[in-house]
Amino acid sequence: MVRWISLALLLAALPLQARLKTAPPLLPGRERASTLPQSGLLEAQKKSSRSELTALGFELGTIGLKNTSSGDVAGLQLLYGLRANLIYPLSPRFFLKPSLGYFFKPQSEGEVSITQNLVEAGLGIQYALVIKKDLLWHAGLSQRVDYVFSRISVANTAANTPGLFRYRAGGSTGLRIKIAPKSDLTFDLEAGVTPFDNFRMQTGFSSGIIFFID
Amino acid sequence: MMVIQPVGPSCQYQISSAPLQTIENISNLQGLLGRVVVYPNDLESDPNTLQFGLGFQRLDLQLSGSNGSYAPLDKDSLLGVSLYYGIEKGYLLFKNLDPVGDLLNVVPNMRDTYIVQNAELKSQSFTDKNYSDNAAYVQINGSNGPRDYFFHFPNKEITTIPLGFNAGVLIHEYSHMVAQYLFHNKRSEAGKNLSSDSENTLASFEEGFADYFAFLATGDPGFFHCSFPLGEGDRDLSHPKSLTPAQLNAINTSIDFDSHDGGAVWASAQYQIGQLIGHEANGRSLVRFINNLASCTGLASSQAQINFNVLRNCHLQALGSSGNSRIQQIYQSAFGSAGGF
Repeated sequence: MVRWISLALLLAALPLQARLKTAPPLLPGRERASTLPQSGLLEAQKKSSRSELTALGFELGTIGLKNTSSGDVAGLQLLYGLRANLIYPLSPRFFLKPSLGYFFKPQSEGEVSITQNLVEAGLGIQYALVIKKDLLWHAGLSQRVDYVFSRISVANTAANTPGLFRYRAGGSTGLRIKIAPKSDLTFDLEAGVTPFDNFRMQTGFSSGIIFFID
Repeated sequence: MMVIQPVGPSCQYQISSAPLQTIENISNLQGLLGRVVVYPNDLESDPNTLQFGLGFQRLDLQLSGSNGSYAPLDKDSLLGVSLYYGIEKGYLLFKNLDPVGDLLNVVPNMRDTYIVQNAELKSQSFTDKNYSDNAAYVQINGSNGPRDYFFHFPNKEITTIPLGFNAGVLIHEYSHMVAQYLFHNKRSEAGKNLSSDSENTLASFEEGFADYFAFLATGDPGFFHCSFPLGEGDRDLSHPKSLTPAQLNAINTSIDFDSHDGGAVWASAQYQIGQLIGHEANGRSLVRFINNLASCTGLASSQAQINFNVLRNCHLQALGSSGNSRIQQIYQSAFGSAGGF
């Protein structure tokens, strides 16, 4: 008897569970509202280290190219320009840093002038060594392909030289300092060599701002 | 090699590729005619520097291009390339005019010639002044034999065409090297011991000789004034000139003597002769002339008194049948009125 009563109760309960699955209109919405934002909030907290955020940066900088005959500072010929880069996180501490830049060096003597132009495309991988609330220090490897050409002019005539592709690779390091919730001030240093051009040493310093686009 | 090239009169230039025919090692700017080098200090700070050619460094070139076609990427590379280009242009001019002008057959160690870029030279004989805005050819007698140098001094005040980019100036200096080997080196000891007025006459003639060949190579009789304004003495070869009594007096007394003054007169006379008989023909005659000058003047064996009349006669001898009366009139007009002859 008891067995039959239990079975009856179970059968009576089944339609109730089925009705709960076909939920009343407001319930599923409330469930989504209570879970999805929660997930987003957790993710934002996880990336607050700033090393895992995708960012777009713009920097002004200088490239120093070793030249034993005619250096500007410490035997380096300095080119000035700007660079745009993307910060693309790979893991909590590793991120890629592709970049595009343009640098130039105008020189003149009397009516003769020559302007060296350098267009660079780079790809670096960086590791976040120190992650603080408002600061991030990273170091890694960077490599760039330069396209270099010069414009020579004298009196009323001018011409571009043929271009030169040059590869350079080396180490780099940088600091990011938080200046706003969505942007950091950046300072980047790099030093490398041009292995296919007499192993000429090349250094670089650039500074600018990155904007997080996550 | 992409360089700044003169293209005729009135300081016209083009920037285009020119073959460097004598270059052997492009990355060192080393060739049959010498090597472009730099020296980080005062060249006279150590007596061994110039005597033995010690302490010079290769120019750190930045070039683009490949397969024999290169271009300089920075100013110092452009300057170094221009220096070698100018010297080579002078070499090819003399060689092509007459085989006796081919210095590679005369100079035993021409590869060892240093073309010194931005040379710093403090000389007591020039009131301790840093040389600038100038160029020079110098032969230094060291214990290992003579060493030849072309000095390019730093540009300081020139606001037009700096001397290193003015091919005419470099060809002028190369012409001094030609004169050194084809004439001065053939002078006997007695022939080197001349009166000051004779030496001043020779120095004046040599400046004009160098200016004329610079014109021949560039096609610009005013090549000098592409770098220096006309106010600093008239070196335009196309302007007829005659030796003034003051200039002749300076030659005779060495007071206020400047060899470029008489040289400008000599060069303008050559320009007129070239207009008359053709510049190539006159250039060829002058190569023969400089090659025979030591014997023609007697300086190959003895002392002699040298004046412009002696030099004219040697040139007429080199001209042979071309030495007509009109040429004598040109000489007379240039030098005769001041009593040169």
